[in-house]
Amino acid sequence: MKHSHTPSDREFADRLHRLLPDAPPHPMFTRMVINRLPRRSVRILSLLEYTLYIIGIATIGVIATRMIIEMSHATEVPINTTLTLLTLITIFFSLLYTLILPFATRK
Amino acid sequence: MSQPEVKLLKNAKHLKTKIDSASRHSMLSKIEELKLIARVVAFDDHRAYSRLVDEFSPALRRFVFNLTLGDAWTTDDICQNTFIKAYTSIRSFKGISRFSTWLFTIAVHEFADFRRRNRELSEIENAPEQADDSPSHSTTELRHDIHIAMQSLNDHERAAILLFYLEDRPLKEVARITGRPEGTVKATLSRAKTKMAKIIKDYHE
Repeated sequence: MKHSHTPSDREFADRLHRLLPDAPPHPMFTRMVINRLPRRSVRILSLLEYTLYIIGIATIGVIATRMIIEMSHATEVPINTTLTLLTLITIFFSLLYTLILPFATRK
Repeated sequence: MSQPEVKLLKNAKHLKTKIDSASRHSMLSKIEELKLIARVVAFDDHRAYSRLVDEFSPALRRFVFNLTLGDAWTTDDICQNTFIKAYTSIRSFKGISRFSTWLFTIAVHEFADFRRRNRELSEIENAPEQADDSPSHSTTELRHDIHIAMQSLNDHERAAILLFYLEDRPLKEVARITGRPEGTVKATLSRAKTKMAKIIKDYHE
C-alpha cells in the first residue's frame, strides 16, 4: 500500500481535498519566521574570535621557533632573550589552552 | 453511465486532485532544495531560508491548521516554531528524506508538545475558521460533517489521515513523520476511516 489506491480510498481522499479548509492566508508569515531566527552577528563574531586566536598562536609559534633556532646556533645566549622566549612560550600555551578548552569541555 | 465509465471518471477526478495537491506542494526540485539548504548551512543565508519557508509553508500550514481543527493562532505558532527549529538544527538534516518530510516530522513533534502543554485547555475544540468563499448549502453540510468527523479522531489518527489522504504521503513517509511503525499507521488509518465513516452520512466504505 503506497498511496490511497482503492476506490473508496480515492473517493475519501478527493472528499478531504475538496472539503478540508486551507489555513487562512498570512502574508507576513515568512517575514515573521525570518525575524525570529537567531542573529547571524553572534556567529560572525565567534568566527572572528577563533580567527584571531589562530593568527596569534601561529605568529607566536613562528617567532618562538625562530628564536630557538637562532639560540641553538649562538655561542652565547643573553638572559633577556631566554626570558623573552619563556614569555612567548607561556603566551603560546595560554592561547592554545583558551582555544581548545571550550571544545574539550563541550558535551 | 456504465460501470467502467464511472470508474474512469472517478480516476480522472482523483488524478486532478493529485495534480492540484502536487502543485500545492513543493515546486522545488530536490537539487534546488539541497542548494538552498547548503546556502543556509554554509552562510546562514536568510534569503535562501525565506525561499524555503515560502515554498513549504502553505502545505505545512494547511496540515497543521486541520490538525488543530482550525485553530489559526495555534497553527501559526506551531508552524513558526517548526521553521525556527528546522533552521537551528539544519546542520543535522542528512538529506536522505525530502526537506518537507523533515519539516512535517518537526511539526508533528511541535504539535505533540503543544498538546502536552495545553492538555487542560480545551480551546482547540473551538469552531474552525471558515476559509472559503460562500459554499453551497450541501458543501457547508459536508464540511460540517468532515469537521465533526475529524473532531472524533485522536491526534495520532488525525495526523495519519491528513498525511495519507490530504498530503498524499506514502505510508512509509507517514510512519517516518509520525515516528510509528508502518503496521501501526495502517491500523490507525483503518480505525480512523471507520470512525469517520460512521459520522459522514453519505460516505460509503
